[in-house]
Amino acid sequence: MTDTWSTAPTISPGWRDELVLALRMRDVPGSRIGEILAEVDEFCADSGLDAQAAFGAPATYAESLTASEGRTRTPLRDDLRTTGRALVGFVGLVVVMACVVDDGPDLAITVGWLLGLAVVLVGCVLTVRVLGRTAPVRWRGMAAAAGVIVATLGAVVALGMLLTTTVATVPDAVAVTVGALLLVGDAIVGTVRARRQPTADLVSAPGADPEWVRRRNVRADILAAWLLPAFAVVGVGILLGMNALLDRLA
Amino acid sequence: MSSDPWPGEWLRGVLDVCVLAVLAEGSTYGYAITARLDELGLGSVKGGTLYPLLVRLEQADLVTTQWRPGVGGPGRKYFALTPAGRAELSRRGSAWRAFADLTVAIVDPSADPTAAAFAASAPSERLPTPRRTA
Repeated sequence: MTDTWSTAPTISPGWRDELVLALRMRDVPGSRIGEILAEVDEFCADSGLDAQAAFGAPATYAESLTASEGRTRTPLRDDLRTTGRALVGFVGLVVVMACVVDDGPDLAITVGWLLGLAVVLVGCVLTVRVLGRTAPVRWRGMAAAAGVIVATLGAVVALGMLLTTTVATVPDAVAVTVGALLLVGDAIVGTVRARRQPTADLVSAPGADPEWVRRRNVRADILAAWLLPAFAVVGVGILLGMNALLDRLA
Repeated sequence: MSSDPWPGEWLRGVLDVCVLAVLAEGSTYGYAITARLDELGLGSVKGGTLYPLLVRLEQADLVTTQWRPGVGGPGRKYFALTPAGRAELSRRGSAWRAFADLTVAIVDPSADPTAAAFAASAPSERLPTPRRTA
């Protein structure tokens, strides 16, 4: 959804976004979505009708366009690999933030922490697969995914609060270094992978230069790869600033 | 499906062969197909009905597509009939003619001699035997 596309004035941004979302949830490639948007543009410009009048509800239109295509499901192994990659950076972020929040000189790694990470991995895979299975019925897919996310977060918080037995203690300096290495390393690996073979699939207009489309996909992947480090920098900055403010007020 | 008086279930059965017939006149784009169908008396077919149908025809290799740049606009997607599309039009066209003759004969037996002969035949000869369903 980070794509740009100029639409005719007859297509309201809300209608367009709903159609793009409905097509994305049906795994329609970005180039095909661009073509569908261009068809709507063309027809509305020619007929003088707005998109709602000419094509009906976006979700219904997306369904009618893809009704004859069989849905292909991502293998579980691919979902695990994708989630595992994201989890490396996520662990780095959690470690860095925990060191900043923690008052003591050492970071205590508890049983609840370790089990929580496993639960997050399972929860992420489940969310992806629930969305993949129930995408055709939008509200049901959203509700099921929301249920999995809430259950995962609840389990992680409960594990962290209940299973406080310390497995190991690591000096803050070491933990921050390891966390930062995980964050930056994951981002660098993501950047290299994006340059080699981007996984992003932005919406592109019919006849768009393939090299230009590839460059946009690479940029989107690189941006995604550096989101967690950026989030960590902002988060640490806010926490340190709040600590400094509280110290001054005390 | 259409703003015209033809019932939607009729159009659903006949629209694909009518679109093939319009494309047999020459390659053209979405709204021009709608306008031509309207001009022929079929009614105003909405984009939400037309494009999914064109997708199915393309997937069946009955139609090919090509984007042509527009002047200051979004460009146009042109649809053209393939040889397989022409063969399908011929086959489906013959079937529709036979079906239309049959329905006319049933609805209005006095319309022509063929229909009168059809109407005069024994019901068991002109109607298929009902199937028993489980």
